[in-house]
Amino acid sequence: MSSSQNNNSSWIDWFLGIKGNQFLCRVPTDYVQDTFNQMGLEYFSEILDVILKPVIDSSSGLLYGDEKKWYGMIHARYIRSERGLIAMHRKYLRGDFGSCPNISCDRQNTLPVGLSAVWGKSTVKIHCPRCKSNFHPKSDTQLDGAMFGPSFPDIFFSMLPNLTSPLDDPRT
Amino acid sequence: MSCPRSIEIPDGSWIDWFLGIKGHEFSCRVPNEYIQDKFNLTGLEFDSQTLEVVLDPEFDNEDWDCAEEKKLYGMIHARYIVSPRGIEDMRLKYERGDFGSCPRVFCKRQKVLPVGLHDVWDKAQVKIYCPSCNNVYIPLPHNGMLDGAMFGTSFPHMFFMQLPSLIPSPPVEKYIPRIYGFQLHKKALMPPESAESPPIKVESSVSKSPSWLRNVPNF
Repeated sequence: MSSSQNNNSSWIDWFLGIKGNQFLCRVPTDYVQDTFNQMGLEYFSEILDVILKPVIDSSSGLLYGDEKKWYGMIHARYIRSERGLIAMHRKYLRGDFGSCPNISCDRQNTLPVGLSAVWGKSTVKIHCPRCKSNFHPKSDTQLDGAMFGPSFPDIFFSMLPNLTSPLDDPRT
Repeated sequence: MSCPRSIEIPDGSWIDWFLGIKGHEFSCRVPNEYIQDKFNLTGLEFDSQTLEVVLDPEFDNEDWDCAEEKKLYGMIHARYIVSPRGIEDMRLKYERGDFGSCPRVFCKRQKVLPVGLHDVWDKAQVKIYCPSCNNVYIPLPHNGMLDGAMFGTSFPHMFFMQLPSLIPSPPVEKYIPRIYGFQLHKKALMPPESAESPPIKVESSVSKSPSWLRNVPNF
């Protein structure tokens, strides 16, 4: 992973600014710090310190390597929270996750989805609510699918039902 | 439209130049004798000067507006690729993966073919057809600049009619919506029934469970 020369920025600022990480949402530091949200995650306190560091000098050897994974698993929980859904809703409306490549869906906005909740299985995919299929995103994102999880699109549309598109299966 | 300047290659033909343009990877090389056969030009409107440029063996790229030449070559290209020789050329490109793969996850990177939505020039750009799910998709941005009429609406189906052994089997997997592993009720996948109701605000929508969610049976 290439490091950017960002001075006076936090680890989260640096990580979100990496090209290819546009799908990611910013997790508030208070959410990260809440031990309830860390339940079941294996981590070292050094990793948490790096992620929460307000100013990070990327030239130093402070990165332990698992910060991305740990932030990703917290991210998967945050985007299912009330605040996270609102933030993802804004990104969805802005078209941050791309559009459906199926021409019948008329460039329907999509949502990120993981094929597995386990880290390291596969990269993130995009889900179209209109044809209800999963696609490989066009952008060169290498984010792990577990950062979003397999349930996210369905939770999203369950909590925001008015966003569901009319059922229009182009294959029928 | 000015033609993008390609690398200065002396003694290159117009066709060499055209095929070498970045973003034209879908294009096939049409043999000169096919272009020179008047039968293959039947019904096409063009100036003789345009045809001479297309057949020019030593094209000097002077930033010409090659719109007419591209159109003529494109319409001939659409005919060539459904000819026996053209289908063979396109088969090689298909098997090499020149046209990309299906973006649908469950098609498992099935190779695709280019397809036009119209047979008339300047209607829409080229699309890709997946023989596995039988759907048409927008190709990646750097591949989608060519006019769809260069390939036509009939090409993929003519291709598989000639080469039926290349038809893949349809995908068996289907996406099943789940929340924390549990399948969703069919009603949960439908848009709200009353389209006339005022839009629910995001905050209230998140804080209160929709009424149908309480009616979903326990799994």
